[in-house]
Amino acid sequence: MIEFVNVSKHYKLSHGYRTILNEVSFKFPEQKNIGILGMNGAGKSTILRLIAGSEPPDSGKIIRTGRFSWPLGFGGGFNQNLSGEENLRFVCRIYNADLHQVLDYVREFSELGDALTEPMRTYSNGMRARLAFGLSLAIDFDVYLIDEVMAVGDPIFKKKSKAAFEARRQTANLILVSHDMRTIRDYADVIIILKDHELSVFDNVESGIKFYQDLAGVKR
Amino acid sequence: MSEIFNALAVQARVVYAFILRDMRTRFGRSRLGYFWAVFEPLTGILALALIFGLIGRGSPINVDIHLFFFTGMIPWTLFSRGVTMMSNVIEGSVTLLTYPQVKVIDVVIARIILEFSTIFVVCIIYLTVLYFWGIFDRIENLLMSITVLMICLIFGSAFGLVGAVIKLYLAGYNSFQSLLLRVLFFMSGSFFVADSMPQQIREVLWYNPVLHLVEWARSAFFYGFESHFYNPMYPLIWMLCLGFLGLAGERVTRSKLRQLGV
Repeated sequence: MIEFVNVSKHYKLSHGYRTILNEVSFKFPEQKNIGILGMNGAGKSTILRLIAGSEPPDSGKIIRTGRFSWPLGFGGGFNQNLSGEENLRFVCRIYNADLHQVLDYVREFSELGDALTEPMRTYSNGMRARLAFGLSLAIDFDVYLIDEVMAVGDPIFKKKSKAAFEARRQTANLILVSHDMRTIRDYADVIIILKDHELSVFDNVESGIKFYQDLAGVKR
Repeated sequence: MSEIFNALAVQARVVYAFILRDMRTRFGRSRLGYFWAVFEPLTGILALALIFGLIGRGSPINVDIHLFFFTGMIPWTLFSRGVTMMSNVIEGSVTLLTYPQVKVIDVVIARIILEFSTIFVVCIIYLTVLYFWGIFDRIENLLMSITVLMICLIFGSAFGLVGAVIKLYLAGYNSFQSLLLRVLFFMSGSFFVADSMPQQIREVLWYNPVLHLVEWARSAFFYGFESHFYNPMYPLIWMLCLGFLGLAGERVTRSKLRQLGV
């Protein structure tokens, strides 16, 4: 469960402010997979970070119950000078997750093999994302927060990720930000649109997407 | 109540994870890692002591010249270590703030704990050497000497943390800080004792808190040397004020880190 109470968030620019949210009180739909849509720069990723708690709001309160993942995307949160395995250990410790279980799972899932003991600066973007994705699947979250990236790598690995994710979805929900309407249709049950510093819910995915596309001026 | 305990448990976990991680990044890369932790403070001091020994400059007070340098350089080294380990603490941990339970303050705590334990081990090694050198029983107040060293480290950390916050707003602060550190170093009393300086110079030197710490450390260490110059309250007040400012600054900038462009 996640609820915003009077939440405001601004970014200071060199001239004036960019407002993401202005005194927003909002209860996110429960037990639903949520797709967040909004124009470029409206602040979708910021919303995700606020939900995760990676960033505090300027004012207001965010109430959350359950375990939320960190916002999953490319890279981020890994020390490039440590090996993949050392980074895994670190994340396991801060989440109090079973080290061996996670290591075994990620080793199997990411197919990184010996690269796991190499410094992460030698990894390609794809390898990094595979590690991050495997790691997040290995830790039990109630809600996964996903910023654009769903599946990475070659088609076979993508298929595997999708299968693993499907299994996860039996017990967990996800909140995802994407510009790809196919991903949104595949995963989301409801749509939340971020427009004019406000959040609004569309219980019907198609009408949400239509609203967004009208907003974006996309011809269908 | 259980909420507080829960939060503390999370924080302890994060701090612990950071300690292990920092050990890896600092010492784990090479086999010489721990060796350096022990001998790094020694190298510069040894070089200086050798040079001054060779050019035949005696110690300004009636103690062994090497020990005189040691007792001046070690407080300074700890202070500047505190500064360097804190001055990149905010930028250095920004990517990790993605994990919601991680706060900059955890990194600060972890680094201080790690540094304290390293110093503890290093102190024991140095003291063992002193013991076999046969000057162990000539130390006036061992406990006080070590306390002063710890204060040097915390004072340096507070100084560095304030710098880390200022740096977010003023990009040029880094060069100013290294200039400031150089001035403080030459005024720190590693090469001299304050009481032997002329009155006017002493009046200026008095404002350097590191000099107070060095004089304090020497007074605690040597029998028969008691500086009339230092006032323990002066560096302590600096330490508390800077520490408070640094922590407050960290708190204020916490929600602004992204817009400050780090």
